[in-house]
Amino acid sequence: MNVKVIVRGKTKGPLLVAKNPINFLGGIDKKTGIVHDKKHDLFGKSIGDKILAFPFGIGSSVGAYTLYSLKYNKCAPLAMICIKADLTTASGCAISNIPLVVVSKDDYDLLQENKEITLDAVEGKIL
Amino acid sequence: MGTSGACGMFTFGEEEGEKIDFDKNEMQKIHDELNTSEKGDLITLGSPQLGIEEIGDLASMLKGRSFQKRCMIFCPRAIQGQIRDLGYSKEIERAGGEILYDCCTCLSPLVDNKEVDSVVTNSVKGAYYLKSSNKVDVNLKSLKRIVEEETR
Repeated sequence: MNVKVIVRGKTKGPLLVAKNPINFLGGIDKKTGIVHDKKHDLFGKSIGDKILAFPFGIGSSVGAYTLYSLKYNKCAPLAMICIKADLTTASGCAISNIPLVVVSKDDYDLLQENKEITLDAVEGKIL
Repeated sequence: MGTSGACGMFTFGEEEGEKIDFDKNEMQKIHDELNTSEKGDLITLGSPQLGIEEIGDLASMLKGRSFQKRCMIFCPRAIQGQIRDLGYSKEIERAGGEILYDCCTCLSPLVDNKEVDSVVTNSVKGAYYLKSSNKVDVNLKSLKRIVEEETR
């Protein structure tokens, strides 16, 4: 799968795939990494230690600092995969050292929940 | 960058923006979800911060009236000198409004749920984050209604 690298890094882990966009400030508990937005399809799940796939970020640009808090509180995602890179997610990943890549909509639809993948956000590959 | 009031927003090219379906019923539904209180302990205006025109409109709406409870008004520092020179800040402060520069309604410790149960605002964005980040109830209504109901 070809990917565009936004923030470099390499990691492997299980996929968590969201249908809805994510509002990091409003929708995620920064102390636990649990999705507390009741309307979100990941409600109640933890985004920590997963490779988090979601279409794109929405909401306040302070969400970038939520990502930094998640990293500080050891409950940040291992990496993120988006369909488009928004400023909040990209800057949040950059300051928190969370690898971030962008994939096409067709490739996004192939991502399977819980599947263990290796994300190479240096060469730009998902294995 | 996005959180600084001092940055302009730029777009490149002629790309069309995202289009979404939205009608009056949906707007009312969202309003009703966010409006969780009949009244509020204090008023916040901002989120996003008010620009010079909004401050001018507010100053003229407040002529001869005074707030009956604490009202915090959030602005970028970039307009501080202009709204002072135009007499807007003097009029707003006379009416009991507190103007705060370069800080956020929802992320500064100014609205603490240990001290207030509910907040009056006209900001839909503010209402969403006051509920989710500050964990307070919100009385969401138009600026016109805020001036009518919360000032004398």
